[in-house]
Amino acid sequence: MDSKPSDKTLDYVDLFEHAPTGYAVLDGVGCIEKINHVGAALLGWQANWLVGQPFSRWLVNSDREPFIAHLRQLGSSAGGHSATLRIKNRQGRLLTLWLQSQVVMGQTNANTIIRTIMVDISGEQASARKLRSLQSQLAHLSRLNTAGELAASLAHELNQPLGTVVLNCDAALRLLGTDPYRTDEVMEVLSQAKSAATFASDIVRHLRSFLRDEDEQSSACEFSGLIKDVSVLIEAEAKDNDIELEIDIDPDLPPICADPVQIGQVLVNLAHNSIEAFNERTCTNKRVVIAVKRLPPDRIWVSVTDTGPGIHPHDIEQIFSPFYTTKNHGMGLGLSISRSIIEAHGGKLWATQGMLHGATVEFTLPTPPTSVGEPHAD
Amino acid sequence: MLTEQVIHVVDDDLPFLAAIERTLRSTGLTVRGYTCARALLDEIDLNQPGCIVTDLRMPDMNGLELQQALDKRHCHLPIIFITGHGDATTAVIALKGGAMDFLTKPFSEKDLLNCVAQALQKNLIDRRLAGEQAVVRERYTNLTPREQQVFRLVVSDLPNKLIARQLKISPRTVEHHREHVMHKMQAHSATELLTMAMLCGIRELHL
Repeated sequence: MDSKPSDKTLDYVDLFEHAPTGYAVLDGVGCIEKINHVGAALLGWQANWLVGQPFSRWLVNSDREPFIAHLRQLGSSAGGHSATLRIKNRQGRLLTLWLQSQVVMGQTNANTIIRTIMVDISGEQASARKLRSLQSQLAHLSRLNTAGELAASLAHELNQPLGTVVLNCDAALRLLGTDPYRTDEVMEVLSQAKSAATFASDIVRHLRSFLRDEDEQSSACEFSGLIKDVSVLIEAEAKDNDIELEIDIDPDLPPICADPVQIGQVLVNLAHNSIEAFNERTCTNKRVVIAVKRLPPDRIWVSVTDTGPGIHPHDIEQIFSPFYTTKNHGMGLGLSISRSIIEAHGGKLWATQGMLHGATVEFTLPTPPTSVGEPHAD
Repeated sequence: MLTEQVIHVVDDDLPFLAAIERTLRSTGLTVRGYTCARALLDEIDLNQPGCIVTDLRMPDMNGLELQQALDKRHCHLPIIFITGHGDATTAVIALKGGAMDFLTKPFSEKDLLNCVAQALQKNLIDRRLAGEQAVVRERYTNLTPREQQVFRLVVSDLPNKLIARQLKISPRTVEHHREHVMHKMQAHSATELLTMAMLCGIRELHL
């Protein structure tokens, strides 16, 4: 025999041992018959020590059942079968493995072998998890960012009633210091201080409901109530920039099934964009209109229209990509997050260029099926 | 001539406007309240002494625009601006436009009264100066063109000899004009004449 076949065999052995993936041959009951270097390294042992050991030995307890199910599945289907299972290796590290197995039936059970490749997907799983958490952090951050920019005008809005409170309290103290003082005068001054203080606390309450970062469950909610919560923020900013704000709500809107905080965020975002658009260029007739209408049979339609410089046709789809921005500052996340929120609610969000000038961003939201066509009882 | 000082208050927030008016009235001051800048512009008597207290942020016409409109009408009543929060840019614009003071909400009665007292004091001084200025201007216009020439050269610190050379007249004639200027301006010394020149801007205008 010449040496060439032997070289070829060596080549294959090398290929097997150092394949860039774990490779194992199991017997009919799941014990390791052969395992390559990479596979052994995943489990943390020398390959020769692993031979004869049941593979399930390294699985975490809760994944042993699924492993057996995986093997059974192989027996019943001609093709391969894959499973994702977690193991704890010799070093105590938890790894997530993706197994793809194929059975090679023998004459008897003892001759049956299972060929399995093992891929460590712990990294990918971690990145997916990290991505999810980053996305939710970004959503929160963008909310805070918007809120931060709104805080300045909100401070003004709060100081307005607080100014009244302080002056009236001072007046009450002054009146009480005179002798004799008039009770009715003091009472009038104090009741004015009280109503101003109540007004201030209303502003704070609306703000708080907008800012909290909770995973709210979607629930049936009234759009008019939602608008009231966010309009405090929008109105303050509009006023700051000398912009006329008009809110036009269809009086018989059906309730929507939505997370009020998230939809509120979208509204604030869109209005904020409209208001900021006026800063880019000097405009006269500065107007922002928020309209909410019923869209039979089962949707509501919300539009935020401004008389600003409009959206460049080149930008009209781009503006929805994350980190794309036409502003001098800003993260370019507002519209992309808004769109994903609306889509997660089963709606659609898009932008259109105005007929003469200005831009409109509109979205639809589904209404729960029970309320279709029925007048909503309060 | 109107002498009573009136405080004009402009704020679109009614409860706040009422509170300010009450505070100012409590000290016996005369107050007029307006809910927008236009109302003030329509009703204000520009000859009446006093001061203006106005919110910066209002719909229709904001505090800065009101300041400009008053300036166009040559109204120089001291203006106190009320703001919801300190905004440096606005403050700079307002101060450059001659704002008297800034009050940031919330403020106490004491803060408000102090500010207003200073503004009224400034208005008194401004009016006295304006009155004196008018008198001096009047006297100046009564000088002959030659006397006005001599006046301007005298307050430029030129000795008689140089004035004579410049006007191509004799030093004695200069002396003569000078006496007339002092007499007509009712000045008792060269220093007093200089003060008058500064007061109505003659020295700066013609140098």
